[in-house]
This record gives sequence, C-alpha cells and structure tokens, in this order.
Amino acid sequence: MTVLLFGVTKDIIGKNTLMLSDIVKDKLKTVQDLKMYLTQEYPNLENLSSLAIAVNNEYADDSLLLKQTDEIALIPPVSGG
Amino acid sequence: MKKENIKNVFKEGAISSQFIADAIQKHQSKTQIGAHNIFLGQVRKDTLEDKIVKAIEYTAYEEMANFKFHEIKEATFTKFDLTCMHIYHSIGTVPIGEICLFVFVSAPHRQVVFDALTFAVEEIKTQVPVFGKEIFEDSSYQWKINK
Repeated sequence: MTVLLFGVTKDIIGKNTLMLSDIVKDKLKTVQDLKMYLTQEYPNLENLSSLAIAVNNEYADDSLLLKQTDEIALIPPVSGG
Repeated sequence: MKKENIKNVFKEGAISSQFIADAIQKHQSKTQIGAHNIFLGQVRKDTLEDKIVKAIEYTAYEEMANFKFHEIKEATFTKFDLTCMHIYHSIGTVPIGEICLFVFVSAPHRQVVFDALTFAVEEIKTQVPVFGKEIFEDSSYQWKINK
C-alpha cells in the first residue's frame, strides 16, 4: 500500500510517499486504523491542527474500509490562495 | 466524476495582470452580464519573529485539487444564478506582491456576484488540497496555515 504525502507531512515522515508493507497493510482495515497507525509511527502528526485522509480524491470518513486499489493520501491543513 | 470535464486550474508561477485583463476582456461578447466580481489572492510579506517572507512555494495534490475546484464551481452555480465563473491558482513559486489566486464570477446583477464570490473563495480556502510553503529571506521556511 502506498500513501501519498503532501505539505508538512512530507517533512514529518521524511519521504514523498510512504510504502506500507503487506504485514502492516493487512492490519489496517479502515481509515481510522490507518490514522492511528500513522500517528503512532510519526507522533509529530498529532501536532497538526488537522489531518485528513483522502481516498480516491475524496476526503474520507474514519469508518471507510480501505481497498487494495484505493489511492490514499495524507492531507495536512490546506493553505491555498 | 468524468475526468474529461475537469479543467486544470493551476498555472505555473504568479498570475499576471495581463492574464487577468485578458480574462475580463473575453467577457465583452457575453452581453447578458451586468456585474463581474473578482477575488485576487496576493502573497503577503509576513514576518515571523525577525524573519521576512520573500515568496510562497505552492504544491498541491493536483488531481484531487482539480476535482475539488470543479466541485466548488458546480456548487457555486447550483446556489447562485451565475452566467460564468473561472478559477486559476498558482503552482510553484510566487514572490511577495504577486497574485496567486484569481476567482472571477459574472452574473446579470450585482448581489449575486458578491454572495457567490464569498462562498467560492471560502470553499477554496478550506477544501482544496493546496499547500503553501512560506520561504523566508534566509531561505528557511514554514508551512502556511489558512486562517
């Protein structure tokens, strides 16, 4: 599973994209599972004023089930305009 | 959503005054329009302690951002009786004093364009995955957060 990273999350995680191994991926059923995993691995994510997960180009609810083919992205506070 | 209908809103670097003038001029043939309203976002020379911002470097989740801009346009047309609407946003580096966001709404009468522009700009500021990195004069940076 690949998680696309944007903005400050690239600095916090130290990469442009995050590859999750099959072992990790199998434990992550929902968006909430993924958020909990990421904040445990990278505690500085908790300092952000917001942290959203986008699944297939839409902001996802915590209860959404993750699928193998989903495009997943980590969205920190936006600052356009 | 059909991808072929999604326009690319992003322009590399600052949005020039000539581009904005040309956009206005293109509407001269749309004679049912009686009112335009324009929002221009400009890169501000902020200071943090003794550091001075010299530019903002914009990056985006471009595919999702273009979907979101499209959704915002659709929502604005649904809520307000607009004749047309255009959005352009910078990607890459925009120096202080230059324009990074151009939102342009047009309708037969004025009240609609005032209300529609406020709605659209607020949606853009809160929904679209664009990320501004404020670059200071000493080349250090901080990630901007919209207020």
